[in-house]
Amino acid sequence: MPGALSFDDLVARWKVRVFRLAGRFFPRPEDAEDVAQEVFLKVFRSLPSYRGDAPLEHWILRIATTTCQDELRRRRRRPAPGAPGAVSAESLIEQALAGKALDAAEADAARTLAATLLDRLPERDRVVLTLLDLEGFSAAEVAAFTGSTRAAVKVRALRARRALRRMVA
Amino acid sequence: MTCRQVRDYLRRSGADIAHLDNLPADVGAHLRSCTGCLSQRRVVWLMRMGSGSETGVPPPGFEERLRERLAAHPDIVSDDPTVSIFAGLARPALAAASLVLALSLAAFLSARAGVFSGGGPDLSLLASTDRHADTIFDDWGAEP
Repeated sequence: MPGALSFDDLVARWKVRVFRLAGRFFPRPEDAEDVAQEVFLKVFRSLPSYRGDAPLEHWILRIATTTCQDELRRRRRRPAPGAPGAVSAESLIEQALAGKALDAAEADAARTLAATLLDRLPERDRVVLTLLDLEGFSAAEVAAFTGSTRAAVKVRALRARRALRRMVA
Repeated sequence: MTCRQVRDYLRRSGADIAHLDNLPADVGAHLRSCTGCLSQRRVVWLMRMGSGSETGVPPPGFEERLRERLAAHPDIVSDDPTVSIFAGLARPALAAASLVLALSLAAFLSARAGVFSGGGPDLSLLASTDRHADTIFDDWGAEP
């Protein structure tokens, strides 16, 4: 097929985008790679059914979003051993937001605490908030990626932000 | 600045939002006086701290490892899955349909040119037959 994308083209064009999104939810590079590869396996498996009625980017990011959400859900059932208690390091957040420079160990503790708090959000809420607030997608785009509506995305984001505020109030 | 502008800034700027003094003066001034936006700053900061970096790139060998995983899945046709370049467009199906339409139109015009120059088969009878068999054309031709 003239003008078609091959396996190599497809991976080369989308690997950074997919890896970056996976890395938002799974900060360890090996975890992000595992999830990103899973996304491409699903893309190749589903490619024959791609009808072209949505831009390829939206189609791939929808698969990526669903895969990340499923993996978050799977890991929630199997919590990481040794996860620190959320309250113990809460003062670090206050110090950081008050402008205090954190040393490396404190910054690590703050990151772990923040990740623990995010893990408390329902997976779908976290995915929506990440796509909106970190990846900078519009509510309409997030709705397309998550198979939802623009209004539902906004409601979910509002609820997630409120929940996060309550956690660190 | 409005709350919406400040919140958009917090989301999109990538700036170090932990230190108010490092932010643009108008953003810092708004945050000092607006508890709602100050609270939103806390949320965005938490999201950033608890999520992976936005600058991550796949480690070397990503494609090779992916090929190995693909090879372990015989249900996936991985020889050379291809997708049309139209897929990258905003309305791929429309773009493809437009191309087909343009090619059809070009073929039709070529055929008509052949008719008028006398160098091709006479399609006038066929065209006439089509016209009378098509109810849409009939409706167009009807006088009110």
